[in-house]
Amino acid sequence: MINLLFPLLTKDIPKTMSDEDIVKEYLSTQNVAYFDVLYKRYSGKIFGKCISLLKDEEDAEDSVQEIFMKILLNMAKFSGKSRFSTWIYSITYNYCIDRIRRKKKDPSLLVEDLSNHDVPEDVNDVFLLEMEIGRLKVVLDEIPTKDRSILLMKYQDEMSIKEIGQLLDKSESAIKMKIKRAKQKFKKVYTEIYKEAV
Amino acid sequence: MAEDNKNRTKKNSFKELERQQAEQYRKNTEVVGNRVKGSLGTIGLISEIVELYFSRIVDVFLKLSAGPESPINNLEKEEEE
Repeated sequence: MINLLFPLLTKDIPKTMSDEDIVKEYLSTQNVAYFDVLYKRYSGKIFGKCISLLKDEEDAEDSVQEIFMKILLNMAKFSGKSRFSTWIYSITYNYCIDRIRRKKKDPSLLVEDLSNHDVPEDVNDVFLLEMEIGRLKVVLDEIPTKDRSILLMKYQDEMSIKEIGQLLDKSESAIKMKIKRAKQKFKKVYTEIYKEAV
Repeated sequence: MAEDNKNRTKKNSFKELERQQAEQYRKNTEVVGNRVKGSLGTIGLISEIVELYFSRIVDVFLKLSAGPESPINNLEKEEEE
């Protein structure tokens, strides 16, 4: 009870303290201040992912709240085998994809894309990484959710192929192929929208 | 690994987009954060109450399931008085 009435002040927690150490401290003390630090570190990033995937600001705000409740209630299940950021991003992606499935029944999320089994052309990373932000946002909004999410995992969250594979329950070679296809799709949509720039 | 090293660039527009979106969210951080912390406080309070009163509730149920106190106990109490 005393914790709830007189929580440790956020300023008492060193800024250099790792996420994993904060989780340990939170679990052992149940002090809200530790959770507050994690919230401040990640809420904006989680909101960014939600708005990229859900494309609706109000939906994204509600989702941030629900995702943090999930994180809070499942904190004890965090084993420390992966990075804390990877763990919470996987909760975020699963939550958003599930929300899209329930709301829109996006067909790209329900079935594997069987239309193209050719080996895709390799798109240079620089093409994506150096793109002007406005255009990047437009193209990301236009491509299917499954392609958008895998590109965010790779280039925004800098997750390894192995980590993405664990999150999506796919082999590493399958993930590499999915990334290639997503990049190819991205380039195709970009070319369609910005014909004059190509 | 070779593939990862290929096409390396210092710029990352995806990160920049993330930073801009986080900035956009900053104005709402306090509102949503307080809602989450409110829920957290409620959960904590409920767990504290459960922790404090659970043993007493168990006692009450045990007493209820055992029925009225036995007459022998009452007799012993009367003798003590």
